[in-house]
Amino acid sequence: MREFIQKLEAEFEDIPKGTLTPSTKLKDIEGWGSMHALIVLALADTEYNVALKGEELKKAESIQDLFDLIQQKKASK
Amino acid sequence: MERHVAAPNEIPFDLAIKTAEKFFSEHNIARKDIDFLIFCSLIRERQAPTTACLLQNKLGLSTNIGAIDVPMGCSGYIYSLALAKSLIYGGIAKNILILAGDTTTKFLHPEDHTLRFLIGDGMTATSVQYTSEENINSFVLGNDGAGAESLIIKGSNPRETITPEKDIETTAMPYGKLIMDNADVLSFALKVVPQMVNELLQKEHLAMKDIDLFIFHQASRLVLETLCKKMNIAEEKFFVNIQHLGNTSSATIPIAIADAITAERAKKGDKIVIAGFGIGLSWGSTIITL
Repeated sequence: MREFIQKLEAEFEDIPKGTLTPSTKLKDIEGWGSMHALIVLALADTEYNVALKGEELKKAESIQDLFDLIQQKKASK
Repeated sequence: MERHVAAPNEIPFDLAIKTAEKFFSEHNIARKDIDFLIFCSLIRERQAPTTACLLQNKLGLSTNIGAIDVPMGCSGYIYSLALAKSLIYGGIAKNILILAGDTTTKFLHPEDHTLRFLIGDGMTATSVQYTSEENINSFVLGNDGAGAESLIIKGSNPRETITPEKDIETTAMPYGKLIMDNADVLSFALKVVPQMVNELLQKEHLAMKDIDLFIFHQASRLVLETLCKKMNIAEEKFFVNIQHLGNTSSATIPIAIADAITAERAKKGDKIVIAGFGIGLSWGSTIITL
């Protein structure tokens, strides 16, 4: 999980480092937008070899949800 | 980020005339020698006659030529090359002119800032001629109409029920409105592009290291950066010029080839993988030898 957050923070250039926690709600992140969701999709693919769908991403509410979604997809491969 | 936008009344037909005239004046290619014209663009001058036929006359080309429209977007240049190659191999033509590009900004809603940021207009001219060497190699092509809704021109089909929503102001947008599901299109690109490039390399018995340069359709910076990373392509072998032009649909690949040559990123003899992917959903790839 820590590694996941570090990877996310490395990609989100506009979000200050150290502000994301597992319980952080995506909608509470300042400046969170569709571009960030796309970056998560790209990160899941390149770093975890998991192909997420747009609709799956839309259901995620928190950083934990994103992490779980990726783990779940990875396990079902 | 820079991009070019055609004048309000300017459509690909107009850009094609200007581009072809410039091409004839700057290169040693006589218009009388052209024996086939391929016009590749989503926006045609009208439903009929074909824009290619109208261009034959406007450009003063011989009447003894073949002329067809290829109404395709981001993958269109690859399909035009595939067509040109088969016309040459079939003994049908020897000197083909491809005019490929679009004025995609005509499809953009004035308030669609996401797409306005991304999209530019552009037109290109390519001459494909018979030579004894095979400089356009194998092709890998694909289409999946099930993904049509992810990237589509709404309001361009008279049978479509038009809802009088702000979202689809069809009367104000006579060419229709481009709708893109960014996440679907990104997933699509990340899935098909690595697959088709692998398949292409296998067909040609080549490895990634044998390729001098990869030129992909300049879809968006994120798509390009993610593909480069996912496919483990070294940055010096991966050409990106979207920062100067935006996404110019079927024009991105030929413009990038020309820019790569100008920037000395590509030289004679280089093997270049070119790959187009987008609206359809449709994709295609080939290897060219400069």
